[in-house]
Amino acid sequence: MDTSKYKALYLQETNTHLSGIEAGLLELEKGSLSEVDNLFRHYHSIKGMSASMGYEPLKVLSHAEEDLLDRIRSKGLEPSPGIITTLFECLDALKALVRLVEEDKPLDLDVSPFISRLKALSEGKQTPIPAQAPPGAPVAAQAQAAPAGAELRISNVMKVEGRVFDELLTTIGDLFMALSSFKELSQRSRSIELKDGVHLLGKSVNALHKNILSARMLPIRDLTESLPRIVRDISSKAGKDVGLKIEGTEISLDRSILEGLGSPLVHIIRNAVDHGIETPSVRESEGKPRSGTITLSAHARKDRAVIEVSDDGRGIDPEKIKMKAVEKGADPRRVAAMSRKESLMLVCLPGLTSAETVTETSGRGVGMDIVKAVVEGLGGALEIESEPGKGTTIRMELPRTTSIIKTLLVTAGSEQFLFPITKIERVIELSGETPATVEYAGCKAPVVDLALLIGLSEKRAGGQATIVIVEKEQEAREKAYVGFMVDDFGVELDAYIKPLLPPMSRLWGVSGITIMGDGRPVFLLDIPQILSRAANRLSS
Amino acid sequence: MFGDKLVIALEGARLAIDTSYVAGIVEVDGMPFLPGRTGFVSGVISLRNEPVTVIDLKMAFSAWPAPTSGTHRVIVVRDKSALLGLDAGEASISFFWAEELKACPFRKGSGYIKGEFDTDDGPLSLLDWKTLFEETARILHLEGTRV
Repeated sequence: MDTSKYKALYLQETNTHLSGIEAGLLELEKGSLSEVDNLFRHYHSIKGMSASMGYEPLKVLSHAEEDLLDRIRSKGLEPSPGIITTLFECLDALKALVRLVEEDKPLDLDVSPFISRLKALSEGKQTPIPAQAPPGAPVAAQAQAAPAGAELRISNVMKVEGRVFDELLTTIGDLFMALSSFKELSQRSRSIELKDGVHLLGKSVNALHKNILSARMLPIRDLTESLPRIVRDISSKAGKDVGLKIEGTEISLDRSILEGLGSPLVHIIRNAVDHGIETPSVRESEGKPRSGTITLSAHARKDRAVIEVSDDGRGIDPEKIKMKAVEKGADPRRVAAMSRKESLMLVCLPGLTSAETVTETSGRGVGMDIVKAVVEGLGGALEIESEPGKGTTIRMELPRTTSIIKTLLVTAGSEQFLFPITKIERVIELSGETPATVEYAGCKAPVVDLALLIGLSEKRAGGQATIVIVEKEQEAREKAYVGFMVDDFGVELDAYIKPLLPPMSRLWGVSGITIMGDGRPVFLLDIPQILSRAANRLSS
Repeated sequence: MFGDKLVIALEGARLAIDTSYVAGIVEVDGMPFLPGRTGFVSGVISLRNEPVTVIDLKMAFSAWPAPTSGTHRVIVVRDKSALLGLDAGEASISFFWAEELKACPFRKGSGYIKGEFDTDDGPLSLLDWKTLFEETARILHLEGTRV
């Protein structure tokens, strides 16, 4: 197992414990026996972490120290000056070893003299306090050979609260908006100095933004590490045999997005175990392996991450879902006209469940609506694919970073909107009558007037038009496209997108807002939502 | 209730808002579009880089829309995270000080009016902008769910 990626975390935690040991030993020396428990805990943690990382000398030495502390704690061994001095010397040895880890040097130091002395002390044998040369001389020598002041050295790894990075990102957003104002000023100005200054400022703000974003990125693995245990617990409670496969989780996402994904993922997995995967006997009778499989996989698609949770269980019957939706009061004509994909999405309606049984954790019809809302709240989209008898896949497409995204400014009627660049396939400029469809990538893409779709009453005057082509994912994964007709398009913008807060937090068709350099608010279009309305308009 | 008030003279009526809620006054020539705007919800503006949902005060009280052209004087009110713009159109704005109010009888109101002070210049209605804020959220949510 490659543990190198955890080294920074190991060093950060171990140094915290070493500081705790130093403070604890000083208190113990003053006669405070209440410190013994804390000291024991610190040694125990170092032992455990060192064992996981494969740092044998650190594990062995901290284990021997832990043993000695245990003797003091439970066997009433008196913490004599000899014991305290030895523990301080062993602490120096631990520090020297940790420094070797930090410097990527081999841990080929002999800690056996320390171990023998700790063992002797544990057995109640008094050992003389060496005047100068402590046992484990090579290690001690290494510790002493450290440059002057090294004892007061601080770690290269910093522990920073996530909140600090959130605030930094907000500040960067404000900087982007200020930059946008300066850019506008410099465009109107003839001053070369101002233009140069704004250019330099832009470069610095971009570099700062990039660094902050990279510091906020965490691999999906960090979130999924606990999933095998969760699956084990839920499946054993449900009397099912379920295995979990995890693939591609080295892809990194912004910390806030990853954090938000926690409960949706657990919910999806609980649903899969409780209602997707059949009991071993049922599976066997259907010719399936007794053990069901849930697969969590992740991959990158442009600048977004796609996370899929699939199971090989009983799947969802779209007809059954449609019936339940009608029972819950949905318009029967609308439900009847729904495509298979739309029908499956009905499980995301509040109060609707495909489950026959209700368990402690799922099947009550609360959940998938919240899962969908959380995913969309993170700027993502959720899709469901299912085949009765074969299984279900829940697909979440999410942005990998937050707040500042590349956009295209378009004009529709008298208003401006932002299209996320990642959603645009192509921009075509046309003159004359607006066609009902345009040819793109061998497909006929229907053209929809964005102004009318979004609720602007003005009708386009005619003449020059711009069609923004967006991919629409279809069933059976066939490519399909929709063209959104706008009046004009402008520059590509790195827009700082603010979330929509109450009272406009549930606005249809937009997923965020930016404030332009001149103070104008401009909305970021929610492409999945407008595509869905476009599909409805086209079908009716 | 008896703090300093900002007063909007609106078609004969006088609406008062506690000055402690006033985050700023913004004048705009056109009201930028807000998807799903309907009823008295009229648009969105920005105040110090923050987006503000704007409602049309005239329409909220008389279902009589303010002219869409001309100057919109928007009083932005804030309490914690709640931020709302009150479009007073070209209505004049003045102040009524706490000392003067102390002598004025007050009676409870209903709807978007918290109550009315009897002043020498006639009734002064204390605006319940938080109820307007909640109604705005409800309207925009309803619009969002309509397909």
